[in-house]
Amino acid sequence: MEPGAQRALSPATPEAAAPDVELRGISKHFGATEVLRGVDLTVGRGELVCLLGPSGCGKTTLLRILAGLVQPDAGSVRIRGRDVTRLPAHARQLGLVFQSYALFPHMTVRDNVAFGLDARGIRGPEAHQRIARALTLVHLDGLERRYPRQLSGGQQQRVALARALVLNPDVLLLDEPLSNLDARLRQEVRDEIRALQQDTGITTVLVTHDQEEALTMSDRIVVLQAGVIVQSGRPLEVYRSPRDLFVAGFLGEANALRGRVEPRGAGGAFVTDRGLSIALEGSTGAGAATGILLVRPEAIELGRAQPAPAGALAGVVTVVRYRGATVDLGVRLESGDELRVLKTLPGYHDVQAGDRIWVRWAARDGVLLPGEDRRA
Amino acid sequence: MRAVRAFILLLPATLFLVVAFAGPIIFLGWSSLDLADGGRGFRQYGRFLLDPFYRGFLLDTVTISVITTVACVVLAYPLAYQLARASATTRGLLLMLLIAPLMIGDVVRGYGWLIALGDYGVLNQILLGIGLVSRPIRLVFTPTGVVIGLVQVLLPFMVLPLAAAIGAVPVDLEEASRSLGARSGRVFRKILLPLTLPGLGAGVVIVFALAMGSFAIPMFLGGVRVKMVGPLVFQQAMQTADWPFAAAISTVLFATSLLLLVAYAWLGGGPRRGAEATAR
Repeated sequence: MEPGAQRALSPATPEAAAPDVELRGISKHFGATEVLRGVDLTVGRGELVCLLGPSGCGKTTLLRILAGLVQPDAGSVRIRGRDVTRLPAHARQLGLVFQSYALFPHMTVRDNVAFGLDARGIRGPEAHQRIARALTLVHLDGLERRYPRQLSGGQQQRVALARALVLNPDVLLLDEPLSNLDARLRQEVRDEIRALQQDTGITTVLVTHDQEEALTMSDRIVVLQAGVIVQSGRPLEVYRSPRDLFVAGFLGEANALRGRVEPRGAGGAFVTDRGLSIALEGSTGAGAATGILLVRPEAIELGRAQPAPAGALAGVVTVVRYRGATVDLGVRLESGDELRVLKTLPGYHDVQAGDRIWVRWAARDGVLLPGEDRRA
Repeated sequence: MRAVRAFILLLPATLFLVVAFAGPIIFLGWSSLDLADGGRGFRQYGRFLLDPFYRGFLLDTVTISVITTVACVVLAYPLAYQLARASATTRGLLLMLLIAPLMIGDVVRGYGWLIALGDYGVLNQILLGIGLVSRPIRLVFTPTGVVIGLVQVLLPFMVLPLAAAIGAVPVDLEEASRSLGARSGRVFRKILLPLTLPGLGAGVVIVFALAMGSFAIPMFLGGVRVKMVGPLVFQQAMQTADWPFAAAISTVLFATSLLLLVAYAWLGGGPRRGAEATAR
């Protein structure tokens, strides 16, 4: 459920009614380069939003504008209803975790965590208590006296988290929090951060270029491209119905068949440029003459049993790549169209290049996109 | 094999240093022990350190050097910060401006300052002209004048090690501390200063040592009224021809600088030890 909808039901104080983060019309240039162009973003209380995009899409700049480290050329930043656009970073109640963690190398774990409290004049027993609580939260009890260089990457990351969380920030900002960890640790820390975020209910904005991170961690994914938000929605929603080829390709992998929609049969058909006709359910793309049919590789059913079921497309396996739990197959259809098919292993051990097979997919797994880039 | 090659590579520079540096110093120390009666002893040192007249030279030199060093630190930090955090192009330009004065000899600069700071020099002409003062301010042949000259000459030696140290502190750390609620003053005191202490130490050692041994600037801007050791050595060696005494004074100067260097190394010259030393 959208957090916004939840709040609309209960009459609340004006502060609670305002979303935790509200960006309006944010634009930013660096020299001649336009980094962000009129970005609007709202993050509800307790929500974890992922800013996802390739490097240079503006996602980190957007986070830094939110943190007060960069001034936008235009637009406003509101946090909990308060306009903080002109407020410097030190006056905003935000917890920022850097990609590099940015731990103070000359301070112990304890002093790192104490830094923000000290800056706010919180010392003595209260500080002691809050530091202890924050360190327990990230499972770092007992390491108070260590220096950052004496810690593993994962531990350093947790110190950075504790240092931000100890201040009870309005919003937690995470900049590529997992990119400096090795693959094994990444999964563990990812789950930990998500669990921590849900336990504390802290509103979080996370920047990443990693689709898996975005899909597994977020309540909502915001896809950025060249300084513009191209799509925003819940992970599954964005994955299942990407708005365009860029989103589809960035979030997972997709087969893109180019062709046109023609009125054939009951719901019309999609005819690829190579002449392959695929029946469509309903009239999703009616009106669009040319289009792209997207099919996720894992949505495709593949079989060898003859005769092929009705509606299946015949083809030949061209490439077989084993990836451990899954196998990645290249298939050339009789029309010449190429497809990638991803299957979970048991049952597909003996598929070989050259095998004659058939493929099919449920009509609802085909996403029809207009042929021309809508943003052009 | 590697050791042999390293030895061969190091040999020329080592030989040169032994002949041109260590040798003269040993000779200097040795000749400082010569006494007028042909014997040997430490009487020259006693004369320099115990006679109030000569000891005044040492104390004034230390005072002027300390003030010069402090002034350099205060002026150098903002400059070094800009230098370290500037874009590559700006950094190149700033570096050039910083180093350009080093291309001009001390004598030329001393003479230049004499013209600029003299009773009827450029500065006083301006002050008189706009009516800020009714009489010329005395700067030449005062300790203040010497400090002004020394700061100008020695500032680059403070800025360069400091800029290197600041450049080694990731900007992330400053941004992190600001996002944690620290204003600029706190960022400097808690983050930048502790992490750049080794660079600061290096700058302090270099500037203080150079100020202690400075000659041309005190000669031009101090004249006979400002008592500094550099001109005293010159006077004793060239005018009075008291070589053993001049040698003793030089040895004391050298020992002071050496002591400072040892103290710096002991307190932690390396960046890592420096960081640890400041972490309580």
